[in-house]
Amino acid sequence: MSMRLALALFLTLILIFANLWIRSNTINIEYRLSSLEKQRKTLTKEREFLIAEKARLTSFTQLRNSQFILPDRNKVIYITSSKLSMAKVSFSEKN
Amino acid sequence: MQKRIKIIKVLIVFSFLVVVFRLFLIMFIEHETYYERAKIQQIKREEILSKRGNIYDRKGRELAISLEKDSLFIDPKQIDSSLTLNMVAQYVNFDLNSFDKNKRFIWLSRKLDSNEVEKIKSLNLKGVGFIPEGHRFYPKGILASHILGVVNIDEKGVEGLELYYDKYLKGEKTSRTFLTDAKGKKLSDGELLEIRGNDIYTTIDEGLQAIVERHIDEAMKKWRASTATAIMMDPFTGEILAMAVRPTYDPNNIALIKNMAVLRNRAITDLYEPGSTFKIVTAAAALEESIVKPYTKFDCSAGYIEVGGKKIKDVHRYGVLTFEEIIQKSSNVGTIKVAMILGKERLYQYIRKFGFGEKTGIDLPGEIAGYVKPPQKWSGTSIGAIPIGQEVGVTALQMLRAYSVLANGGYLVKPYVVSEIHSQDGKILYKAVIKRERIISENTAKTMKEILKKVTEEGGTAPLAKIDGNKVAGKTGTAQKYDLKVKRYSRDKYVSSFVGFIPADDPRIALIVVIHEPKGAYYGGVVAAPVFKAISDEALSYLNVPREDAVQKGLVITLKGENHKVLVAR
Repeated sequence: MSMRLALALFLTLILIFANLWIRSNTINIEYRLSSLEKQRKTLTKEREFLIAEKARLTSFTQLRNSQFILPDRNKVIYITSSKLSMAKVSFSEKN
Repeated sequence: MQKRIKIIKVLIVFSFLVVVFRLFLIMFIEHETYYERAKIQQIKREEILSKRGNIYDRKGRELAISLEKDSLFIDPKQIDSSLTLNMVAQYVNFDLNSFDKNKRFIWLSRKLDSNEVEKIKSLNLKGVGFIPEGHRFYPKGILASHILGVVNIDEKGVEGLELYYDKYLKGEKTSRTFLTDAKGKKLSDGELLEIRGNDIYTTIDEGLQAIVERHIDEAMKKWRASTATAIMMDPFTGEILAMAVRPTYDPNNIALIKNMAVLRNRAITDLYEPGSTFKIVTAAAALEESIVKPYTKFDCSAGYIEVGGKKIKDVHRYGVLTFEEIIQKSSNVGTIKVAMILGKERLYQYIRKFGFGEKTGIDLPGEIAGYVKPPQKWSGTSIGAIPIGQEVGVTALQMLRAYSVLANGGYLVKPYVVSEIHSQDGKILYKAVIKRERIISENTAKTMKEILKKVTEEGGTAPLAKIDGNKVAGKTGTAQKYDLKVKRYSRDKYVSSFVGFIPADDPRIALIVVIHEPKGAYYGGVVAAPVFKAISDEALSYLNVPREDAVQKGLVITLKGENHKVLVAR
C-alpha cells in the first residue's frame, strides 16, 4: 500500500517537474523565436536596402554616367531563322 | 519536548494550510482580478508595420520601393530633465519650447537615417523611443517622377500613380498582441506578420524613359525653354512607354521643392494650342469624306486667305499645291480651303472623333478634357483658325493619341500606364485591357501615313526629324502662345512641337515632343524635330529595331534548316 502511495507521489512529482520543464522550455523557445524575429526583421530591412541600392546603381542614368552607349544600328547583325520574324517585333512579346 | 515538536508540526501544517488557502483564493476566487492584472502587465499590443507595394517598369525593374525607417518620439512625462532633450538636439532639429508636457506622445523627427538612429539609441535616454515606419524610396531619382508621383510623410499618395492607385498600393494598418516577461522582454509566438500593399507593374520602360528624359533635358538647356513635354506610346495598344515633363523634381527630396507647380504632370493637365500638328484632323476628315484625293490641287498662290475679315498667311507663297503638299509644307491657306469645303459641322465631328475635347481616360490623376468649341459658338474667324490648330486647347497626350490613329490603321486607343496589379501572394488583381475604337478607315489612315512620311523628306517642314535607316511619319507644329495680359497672341512666345511615329510603315512607337517658349528659334521643324530624331534614333537602337535596309546592307543572317547552332559573342 505504502509502495503504491510512494509511486503515486513519485509520479505526481515527475508530472509536476515535467510540466515545469515543458513550460520553461516553451518560454525559452519563445525567447529564441523573439530573438530570431528581431534578427529576421533586421535582415529583411537590410535586404530591402540592398535591393534599393542595386536598383539605384543599375539605373540607366547611372549607366549613362559610366559611358554606356547604345549600339550603332549600322554595326548590329541580326540573326534570324526566317525573314518573317524580322518583320514584326511586338511589345506584347515582353522580354 | 514532545509537546513542542507537536506545536511546531501543527504550526507547519497550519502554515501550509494558510498557503494552500491563499492559493485557493488566488486560483479560484480572485482569479479574474489577477488574470486582468497579468494581462495588463504581460500582454502588449503592437502595430504591425504596413508598407506600400512596389512599382515596377514593364520589365520588372523597381521604380518605387518601400523601405523601413525609424521615427523618433518622446514621452514628455517620462523625461525628467531638459538634459535629455539637449542630448537629442545634437542629432535632430526641433523647438525645445514647443512641447505640451501633458501629452504622452510627441513625434520629434520622422524617418531618420540609420546613423542618427544608432547614435541616439546608444544614449539610452528615458522617455525617448523609436517606431519603425514605411519609407518610400525612388531608386531612379527624378526618372519618371511625373508618372510615379509622390507620397506624403504618412505614406499616402498625393500625386501620380501613388495617388491614382493609392487604395491598391497602401498596406492596411493592423495590430497584434504579444506576451512579455516581467522585464518587458518580448515572447514571440512564432507568427511573423508583414503587411504590404499590392505591387504595380507599369507599361513604362526604364530604358526608353531615360532616353526621353535625357534628350528633353538637353533641349530645355539648348533652347532655354520654360517647359517641355515628351510622351512615347505604343500606337497599337495605348501603352505609355515613357512620359517626361520639365521642369521636374526628385521625389526622394520633396522637402526641397520650392514651387509646387513642378509636381503637375503637364502632359495631361496643361492645355496648349497645337498649331499645325492639328492639321491632320482636317486632312483625315477630308480624305475620309472623299472630298479630296492626295493629288487634288489647291491654289495657294496668294499666300494668304481672308476669313471673317482676318488675313491668315502662309510662311512662304507656295503657288498651286496638291493636297499632300499642303500637309507636307504645312500650308495654312490650303488647309483652311480644305476645311471650308468640309464645313464646320463635319470638321467639329471629326475633331471629337479624334478624341479632342474629352479626357483620354489615362490612369493618372488630374487629366483635363481640353477645349473645343461646338460649331454654334464658332465666330466668323473660327473656320480659319481651328483647322490650323488655333482656338482649340489640347493636351500633349490627346495629340499623340490622334497621331496613333494614323499609325495603327484608324483606331482611337485608350492610353494607360498600369498593366497589372499583383497581390503579395501572387494573385493578379487587375489586368489592363486594350480599348480601341475605329474612327477612320484603314485606307484613310494609310494615305495619311504616306503624306506624313513626306514631311520629313526634302521639301517638307521637318527634314531634321529624318532618321538614318528608318522612315519617319510626323508633323511639325509652331503656335504662338496666347498672352492673357494683353489678350492677343504673343509675338515672342511660341510652342514648338513635333509628333509622329516610327518606323513609318511598321510603327513601334508614337512620340510627341512639345517645347514651350524656346529662345533663339521657334519653328517646330527646328526646335522639336531634332529632339524627336535624337530620341527615336536611340529608342530604335534600344528596342533592337533593324534598319529598313538591313537585308540589303547584309546585316541580317537568315538561318536555313531547323537544327542550327549559332554562336553569339557577348
